[in-house]
Amino acid sequence: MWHSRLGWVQKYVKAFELGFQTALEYRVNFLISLISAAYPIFIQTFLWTAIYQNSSGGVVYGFTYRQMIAYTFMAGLVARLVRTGFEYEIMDDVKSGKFSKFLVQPLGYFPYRLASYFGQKVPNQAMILGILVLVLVGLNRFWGVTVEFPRILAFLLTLVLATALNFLIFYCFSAMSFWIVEVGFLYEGIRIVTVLLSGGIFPLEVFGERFVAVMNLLPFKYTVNYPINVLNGNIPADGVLQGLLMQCAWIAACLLISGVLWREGGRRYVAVGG
Amino acid sequence: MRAILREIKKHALIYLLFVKNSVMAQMEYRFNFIGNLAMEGGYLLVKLSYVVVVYRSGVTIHGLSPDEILLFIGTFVAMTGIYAGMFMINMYQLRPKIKDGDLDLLLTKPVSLQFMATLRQADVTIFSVDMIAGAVMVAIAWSRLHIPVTLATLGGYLAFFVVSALVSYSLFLLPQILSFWLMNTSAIAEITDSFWDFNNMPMDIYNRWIVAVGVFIVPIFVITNFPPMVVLGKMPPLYLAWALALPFLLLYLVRRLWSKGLRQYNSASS
Amino acid sequence: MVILFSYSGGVNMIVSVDRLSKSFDYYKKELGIRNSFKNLFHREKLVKEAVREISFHIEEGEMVGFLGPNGAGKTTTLKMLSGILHPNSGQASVLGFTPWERRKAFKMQFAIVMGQKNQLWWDLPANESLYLNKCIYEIDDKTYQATIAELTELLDVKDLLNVQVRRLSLGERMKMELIAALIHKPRLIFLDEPTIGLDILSQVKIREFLKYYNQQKRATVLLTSHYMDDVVDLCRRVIIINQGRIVYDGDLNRVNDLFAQSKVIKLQLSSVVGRAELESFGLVKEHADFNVTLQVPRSELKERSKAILDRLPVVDFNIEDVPVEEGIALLYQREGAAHVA
Repeated sequence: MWHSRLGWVQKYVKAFELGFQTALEYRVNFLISLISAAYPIFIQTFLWTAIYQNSSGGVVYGFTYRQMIAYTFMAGLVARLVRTGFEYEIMDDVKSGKFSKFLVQPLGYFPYRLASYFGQKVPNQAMILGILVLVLVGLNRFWGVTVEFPRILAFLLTLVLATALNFLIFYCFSAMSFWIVEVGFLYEGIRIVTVLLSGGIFPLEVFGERFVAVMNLLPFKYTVNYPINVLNGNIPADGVLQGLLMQCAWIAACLLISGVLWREGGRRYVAVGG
Repeated sequence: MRAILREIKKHALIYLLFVKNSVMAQMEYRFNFIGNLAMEGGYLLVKLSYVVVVYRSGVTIHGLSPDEILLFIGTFVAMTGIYAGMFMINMYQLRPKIKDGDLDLLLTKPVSLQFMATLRQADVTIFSVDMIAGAVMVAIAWSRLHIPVTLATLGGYLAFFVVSALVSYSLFLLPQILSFWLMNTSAIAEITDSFWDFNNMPMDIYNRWIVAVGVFIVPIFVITNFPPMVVLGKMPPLYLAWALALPFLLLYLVRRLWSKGLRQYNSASS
Repeated sequence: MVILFSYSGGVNMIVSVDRLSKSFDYYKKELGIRNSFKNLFHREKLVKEAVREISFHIEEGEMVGFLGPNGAGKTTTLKMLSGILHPNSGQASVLGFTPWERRKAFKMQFAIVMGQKNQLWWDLPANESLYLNKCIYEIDDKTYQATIAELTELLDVKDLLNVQVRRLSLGERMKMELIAALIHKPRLIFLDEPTIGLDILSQVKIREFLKYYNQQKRATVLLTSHYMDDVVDLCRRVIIINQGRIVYDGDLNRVNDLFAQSKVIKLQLSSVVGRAELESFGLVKEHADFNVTLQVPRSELKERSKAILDRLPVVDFNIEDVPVEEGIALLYQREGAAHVA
C-alpha cells in the first residue's frame, strides 16, 4: 500500500526532474531570451525618461519617475517569470498522437504537465529572482527605495499563485489543440495580448480608470501587475488580501474551466482517432 | 543595358509568381491564416499601446508632439509589414536550407540565387495587417499635422520608405548569411531579430550616443526614422547623404558576404 | 560555327572531366558539456575525400550509368558537374562551360533531378511550379504548352496537373519532378537516383520514358543509381565508382554478367534449419537463426526457388540483385588490380 502510493508520487517527481533537466539543457536559449527581454525594458525606460523630462509635474499616471522605472524593470522580469511555453508541447503531443499514451497509462496529463512545468520553472525562476534581488538592491542603493520585509513575503506568496494562475490560464487555452491543429501562431497572439493585459509592458493605470476597473475582474492582472504592486507598495495592506482572494478565485475558476475544456477535448480526440 | 532591363523584368515577374504561390499555399491551411492574423494583431496591439501612452501623457518629447510620434510609429508598423511579411520568413528558412542542402536545386536555376533563396516566400496576411494599420496611422498623423500632400512630401516619404525597405532587407540578412560558416546561428538571429523593436519609438528618446550608433554603426534607426523625418523637415544634410549611400553600401556588403559564403556551401554532403 | 565544326569532327564532347577531386572537412564531435567547451577553442579537423582524381568523357546523345555503393562519390560528382559544389582540384567542361562558374547560358541548357530533393511547391498543384519554371527558363507560351502536353502524355499524368503535390503518390511526384526538369528541353540531364523508393510499376514507366526521351531528343543523360535494373535497361556504357575512384569505365555487357549472373534469395524460416541442408540450395551468404541469405545462379533461379519453397519452412521469401558492392568486389577479382585505377 505504502509502496504503491510512493510510486504514484514518483511518476510526477520524474516529470518534475525531466522539466528541470530540459530547462538546464536549454539554458543558453533561456539566457538569450533574457537578453531579448531586456530590449523592451530598455526602450520603455528611455520612453519614460523622455516623458518625465518633458512633463511639468513630477507625477504621471499616479507614478513618480522612480516608481515608473522600478515598475518597468519588475514587469519585464515578472512577465518572464510566469511565462509558460508548454502550450506548444501540448500542441505537439496532440498532433503527433503522443497524447494517447496518457489516455491508456495511469498517468494524469494535468499533474504531469504541472510537475514538468514547475520543474522547468525552478532553475529559470531562481535566475530571474536573482536578477530581481539585484534590481531591488540597486534601487535601494542609488535611489533609497526601501521595501518592508512583510511585503517581500507577500510578494513571494502572490508570485507562486501568479505562476499557478498563468499555468492554468494557458492550460485552458491549450485545449484549443484538440480543435485546431496548427495553433502555434495563435498561441503567440494570445500570449502577447495577455502580457499586455497583465501589465507586463506598461502599468495598467496608464490606460485609464475604466480599463483598470475591467481588468480588476479579469484574471490577467493577477499574474504580473498585482504581484508588482504588492512589492512596491502601491496597494494598501487590505488590498493585498483582496488580491490574494481574487488570485485564488481565478485559480479555482480556471481549474473548473480547464476541466470542462479538457474533458470535451479528450472526447473529441478519441472520436477523431488521435 | 537592355539585357539588364530584361533580367529585372524577368525577376519581377517571378517575384509576382512567388507571391501568388505563397498566397495559394497559405489558403491551404485556413487555421494558419487565422493564427497569423491573431499573432500579428497581438503585436499590433502592443505597438498601439505605445501610441496610447504617448497621447495620454500629452507631452512633447524632445520637440516631438504626439501627432508627430504617431507618424513615426505608423511608419514603424508599415515597415514591420514589409519586413515580417516579405523578408523574415525567408531569412529564418535560410539556415535550415543551408544545413539541409536545399539550395542545391536553386543553384542550378538561371535566376539569381540570392533572389530565389531570400524572397521566395511571402506572408500576405502579415503584410496586409501591418501595411493597412501603418498606413491608417500615418494618414491620421499626416492630416492632424496639416502636412500638405505634394510631390515633395509624399514622394519624399515614399522614396525614403523604399530606402528603408532596402536597408532592412540587407541589415537583417547579413547575420543570417553567417549560417554558411556557423551551424547554429539561431542565437544570433534571435538577438538581432529583437533589434527590430528599437524602432518602436522615434530615436530622439534615446541619448546622443545611442542615436549615433544606431544611425551610423548598426544603422537600425535609419529604417523607420528617416521617412517621417523627411516629411517633418527634420533631416540634417548629413543624414540625407548617409541615407542615400547606405542601401548601396549594405547591398554591396551582402553581395560580397553572400558569394564568399556560397563557396563554403557543401550541400549537406560532408 | 563552332557547333558545326565539332559536328563535322564527328565526336562532340558534352562532358569532359579531368582529375576532379573533392574533399569535405568535418569535425570530430565528442559528447558531453566539457567537450563542447573544449570544442569552442580547438576542434580536431578531419578530412573526407569524397572524390579522388576522376576523369572521363561523355559524348552527345550518350546515356551513361554511374554506378557505385552509397557514399562512393556519385552524387558529389554530379553536384560538381552541375555547379552546386566547387571541386578542390581538377577541371571539368560541361557543355563548354566550367560548371561552378554558374553561367546563365550553362544553366539554361541542362537539368538535374535528384530523387531525394524536390523543386515542386508542396502545397500547390504541380502546374503552378511548372509555370514558375516556364518563367525562370524564359520559355514562350506556345512551346510551353506543347512541351507540357507531350511530357504529361508520355508519363501519363495529364489529369494530375491540378492536384496538390502533397496529395500525389511518390511515383506521380517523381514524374512531375521530371517534367519540371525537362520543360526547357535541356541538352544534358543529370539524374541522381531517380527511381529511389518507387514501386516497380513507376520504376518501369520512368525507365521507359527516359529511354524514349534520350532516343527522340538526342539528350545526353548521366544517371546514378544503385538499382542495377535502371542501368541495365537504359545504359550501354557504365562508369563504376568506389571510394571516390573510378574502378571501371566501359561497356555494360562486360560487367553485366558479373552483377547479373547471380541472384540473392532472402528467406525467413519458421524453424531453424542446419547449414548443411541449406547449402544444397545455394551458397549461404548469411545464416542467423531464422534469417537466411542464399546466392544462386540466375539460370537456375526458377528451379531453386521452387525447391526452397517446397522443402523449407518458409515464412517470407524475397529475390534480390547482388548488391553493387559485391559486384564491384567481383570486378576487382576478375579484372585484377592493374586494370582498375
